[in-house]
Amino acid sequence: MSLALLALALAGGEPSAPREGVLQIQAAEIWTSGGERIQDGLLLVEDGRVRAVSKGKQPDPGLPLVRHAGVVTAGLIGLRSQAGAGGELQDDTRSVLPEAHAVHAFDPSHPDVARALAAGITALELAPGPGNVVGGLACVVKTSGGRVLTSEASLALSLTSAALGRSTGPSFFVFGAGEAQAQPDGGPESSERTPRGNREPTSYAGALALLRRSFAAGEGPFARARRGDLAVTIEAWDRHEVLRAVELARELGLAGAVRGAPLAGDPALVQALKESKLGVIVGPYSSGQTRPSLESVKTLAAAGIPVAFALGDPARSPQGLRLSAARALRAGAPAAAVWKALTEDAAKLAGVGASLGTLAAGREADFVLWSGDPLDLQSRVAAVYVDGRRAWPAQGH
Amino acid sequence: MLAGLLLSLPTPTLPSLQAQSSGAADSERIAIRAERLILRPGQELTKATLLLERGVVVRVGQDLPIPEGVRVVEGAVACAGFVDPWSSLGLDPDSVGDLGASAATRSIDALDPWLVPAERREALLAGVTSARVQIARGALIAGIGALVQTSERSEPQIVREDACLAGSVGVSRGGRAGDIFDRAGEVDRLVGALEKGKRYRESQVDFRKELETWTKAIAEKLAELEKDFKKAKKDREKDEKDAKEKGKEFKDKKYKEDKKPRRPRFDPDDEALARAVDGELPLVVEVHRASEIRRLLDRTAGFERLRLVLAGATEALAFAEELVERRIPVILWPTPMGTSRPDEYEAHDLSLAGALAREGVQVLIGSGGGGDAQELRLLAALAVGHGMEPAAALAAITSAPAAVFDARDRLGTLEPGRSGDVLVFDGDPLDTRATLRAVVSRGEVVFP
Amino acid sequence: MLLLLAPLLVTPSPGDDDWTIQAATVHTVSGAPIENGFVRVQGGKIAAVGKGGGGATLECAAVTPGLIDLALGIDTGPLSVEQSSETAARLRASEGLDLFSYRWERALRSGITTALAQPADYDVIGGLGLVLKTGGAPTLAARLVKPEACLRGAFGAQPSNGNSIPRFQEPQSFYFRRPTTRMGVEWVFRKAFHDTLQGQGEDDPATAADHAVLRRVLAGELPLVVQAKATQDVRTAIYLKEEFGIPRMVLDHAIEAWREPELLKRSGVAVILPPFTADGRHADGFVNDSYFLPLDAARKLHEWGVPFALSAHEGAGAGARLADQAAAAQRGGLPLAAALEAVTLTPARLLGVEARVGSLEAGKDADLVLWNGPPLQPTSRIIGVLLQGRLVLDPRSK
Repeated sequence: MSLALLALALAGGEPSAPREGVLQIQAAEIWTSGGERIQDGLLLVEDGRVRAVSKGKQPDPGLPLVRHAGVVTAGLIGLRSQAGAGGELQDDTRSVLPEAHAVHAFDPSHPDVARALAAGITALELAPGPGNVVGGLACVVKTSGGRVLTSEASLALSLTSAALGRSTGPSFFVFGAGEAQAQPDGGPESSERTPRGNREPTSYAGALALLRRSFAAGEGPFARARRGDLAVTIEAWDRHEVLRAVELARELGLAGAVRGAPLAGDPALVQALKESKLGVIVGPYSSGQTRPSLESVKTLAAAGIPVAFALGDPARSPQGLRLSAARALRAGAPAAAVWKALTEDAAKLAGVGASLGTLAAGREADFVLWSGDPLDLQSRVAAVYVDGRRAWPAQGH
Repeated sequence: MLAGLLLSLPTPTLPSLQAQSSGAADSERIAIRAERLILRPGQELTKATLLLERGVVVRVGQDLPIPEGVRVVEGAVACAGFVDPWSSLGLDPDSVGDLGASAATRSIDALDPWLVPAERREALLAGVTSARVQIARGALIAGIGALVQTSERSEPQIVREDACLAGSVGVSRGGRAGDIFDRAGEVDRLVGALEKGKRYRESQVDFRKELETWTKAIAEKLAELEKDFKKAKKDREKDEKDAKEKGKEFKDKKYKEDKKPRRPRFDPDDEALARAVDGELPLVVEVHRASEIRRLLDRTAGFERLRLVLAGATEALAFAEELVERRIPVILWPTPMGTSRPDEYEAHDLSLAGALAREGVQVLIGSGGGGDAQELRLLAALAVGHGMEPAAALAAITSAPAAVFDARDRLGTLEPGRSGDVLVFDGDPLDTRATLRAVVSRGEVVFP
Repeated sequence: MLLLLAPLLVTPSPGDDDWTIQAATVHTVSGAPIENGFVRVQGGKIAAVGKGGGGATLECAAVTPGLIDLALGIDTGPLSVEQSSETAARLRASEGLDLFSYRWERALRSGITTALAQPADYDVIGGLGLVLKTGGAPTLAARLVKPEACLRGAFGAQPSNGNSIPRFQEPQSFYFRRPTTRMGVEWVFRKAFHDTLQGQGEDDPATAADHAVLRRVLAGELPLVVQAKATQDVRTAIYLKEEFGIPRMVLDHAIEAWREPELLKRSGVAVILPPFTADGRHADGFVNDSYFLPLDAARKLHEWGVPFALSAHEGAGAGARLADQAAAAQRGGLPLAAALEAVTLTPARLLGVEARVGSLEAGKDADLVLWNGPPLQPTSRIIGVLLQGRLVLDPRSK
């Protein structure tokens, strides 16, 4: 509709002055929301937003045009990225840091961010690490231009053993300061760690009591989360941790996602998740990921629970996002669900579902030109656009 | 594409099969029907059928009549089973990590059929029906590798017990990479070992020659003595008497031929190295940095029959021309690796496979020497996504490994008269979205 | 002659959960064993128990109630106990449970159908334990028998293990402030109860919540289950019980309780014995001490009239099975009936769940164990287990 008005405005009266930030992309195939694929589509972008996506429409000769023989889709979204954060996402000061903003650790000029961009990732979510019961506020940033979409995308909570029994600083008996989580693919689940630190809580019961107190006192991010204005993500890896997290979220009326949960496909967990307002952020899936873990995506999708892939440690290449998806496909996950996990549901679980993840009028103009179906690893990134401007490759056509 | 071509078993070559085919049990015969039948990359038939009998391709063609009661497997695309040329699937992990291997240590001895069958099942379900497996990952000389067929069963399915000799230079061991002098020294040590093997072989050859000569000489001498036996006997008696009269010691006449040539002592390590030098076994060397590749190529140039294969080859693009000229294949591992690695994978680039293939180098794709054979198909697709031709990528995981490791008659291609493993997909084999529908290995439908 | 007990009053759900078990001997525990008896199960409960019967769907040599272990020890280790304070009476072990652990299934298949889950003994007073089934869906809702069934405490060396005093340095860890000896542990106990009686420190909500729990213990609503391995720990526990008038106390892992018959008899405490070892020696594991548990300790306790239960610590390893403990106790002279009671009805009574479990009586949960010979003998094997009427170990399969 807006395109028609635009055409009218252009057709009538004085010759049109070149408008800032307008771009047309004509592509053999454009993917929009809900798995819809438009053949011979035209994407109109203005001022960093998508104006319209139409089928079979002739491009306006007065506006810049890019022709692409392949597929155009919304940009991929990498959750739980640490790109550009330099290991600064874990603060051991206190166990409850609701006002810590991950965005302050983000360096947009870091080469890892550029690598993510070149892999088709247009937005990253950076969140505080799993070492604090209340880690702080996650942010969503663009991979080109350093733009911060939101510095308070979700509240990061943690109910995993990595948050229990930590120390505030170097101590004679400190246990490993890194994220010592359970086996990522759901291996031996007993946590035989001895907490030797000096930070409470040291137990699951203590963590639950701490969270209940914090939400009951209800200020700032806690109050917003209870009202439903702020999403939460709860880090939980072992199955019993996931169940505990889901039950607490239900008790406190929280919405958002569980992060970790390699065996989220377990029937008891699926049942609990279905009755909650939580999705699951899984991955990144490594080459040795076990079949039961990979099949979680299939099971969760079948139950209608939103799933998204995490990007993780930048020591793994950002290619890992598409590889995680490929491994999930290999284990039988439907292609539509896997694509949503990379885009739409990733945006939703990061708390930015209204602006990112699909190509629709009014959304951010972050999109990728692929040589073919992006779920096929044989396809490559031809160009990446962020905020309506071409971000990669920097030169050339 | 060879449309409308009927290929069938030439009758004289396998008479036994011909004779038995009529009476063979139907559980041993499988017919595979596909919209696209890929015999080898670049050679396809549309809407074709392939008949297998006891694991051997008997007939291939379009509009083939299928005998009664034969099991039929249908799908969109059928191709040969994947061959992983760089793996340790099914090997005991202690052996894979054993840096103390020597040239004669054999990987086949480390095959543990009861070890984590799930790993092998995943590989099968990902289409990898055979693999070259190697112990002593990262050792300077890693011993002899084997070619095995992936199977969940407890009886090992061996294609070739001695498939190659392997080694590695310049790789980080125990998390530490040596400095440039150490790494150069490694190349020298490896080449030194090859030279030792060469000398060993030469000494064996020399010994055989000498033995031949000696035997001939002895025979001649004996013949001579036979002729003049009586005279010689009289001469000898006379000499003996003279010596006794004169009080001198009598010494028997010594002939040069009395001394038999000594056989060189058997050394299993030298024997293994000699087999590589002779070209009987290909030599697979994992090497990454340009400096080591340069040194290795230079110092192995003198071994005329050596069949060198480079694995890893991260910085090999600069040497493409020489690799083509000397017909040295390359096994790559196009897996995404972390950013800013301080080790031999620093220059790792997923576009290497495509770049080398374009230069004419024979490129193979492997899963890196560990247990991740199930990733092979994804790795090949990634290589295509970074510039490799799809046909070259498919060859890199089928016909090329089979050719390099002398198993063309069993693996990698589908040809009448040859054994074959078959995969049936519901789409292009390298397409990530396509699912594997059936696997036929060693004449048996192992999946579904 | 058909002996039928009171008919079932629960609405039955016909189908897979209906069984009639025929056994050469039915050990009801609540009465004399029934020769050639049957147990009928319907809708997850025991519908009838008696002699004769017909239409058997399962057969075995002997059937007993499902075994009950009060010291199973399946917990998440240190993460099940809030160690930032010495007493955490208000915290619930139910919030630190891992019901997905394979150890539950292993315990179930060894015949244990009901268990007590408690915080691990890293705190002096660890928190509230609960009674739950060892099988079923891995959620608390599916397995719960009794929430907040006891308060867990520990005497001895374990709670003070790892604590130390800062020497010439700033206290960096709360492990620097905690008790470091047995005396300190007892002091913490005494202080907690003393403060509860005085109502001290209750402006802090955590302390107030702790005291509320301790008051329930003092009122006899909650049993106090304490670890007391050594003789001195047994004496300490009993002195404390008598001093504060704690109505219900159970000594757990009470290796040397058998050394104090007078104290046990006069105080009325119950005892949970740990697994028997080959030579009777038990290492403490925390101090350089070893304790002695003779094979006839159970028989002695039985003769003195001290209520006791046997336990297997199945969470620690697959070796010490509860049925084997009962067999060992019988080798020490304990009669079979007493051994059977020590692994069924007695533990149920100690935790106050005898209305649901512990014996084969109509109306109780259908938790049964099927044996291929006389139960609790080293020559017999468990061939079948039913949990709330569901067959979890099938005697008919090979």
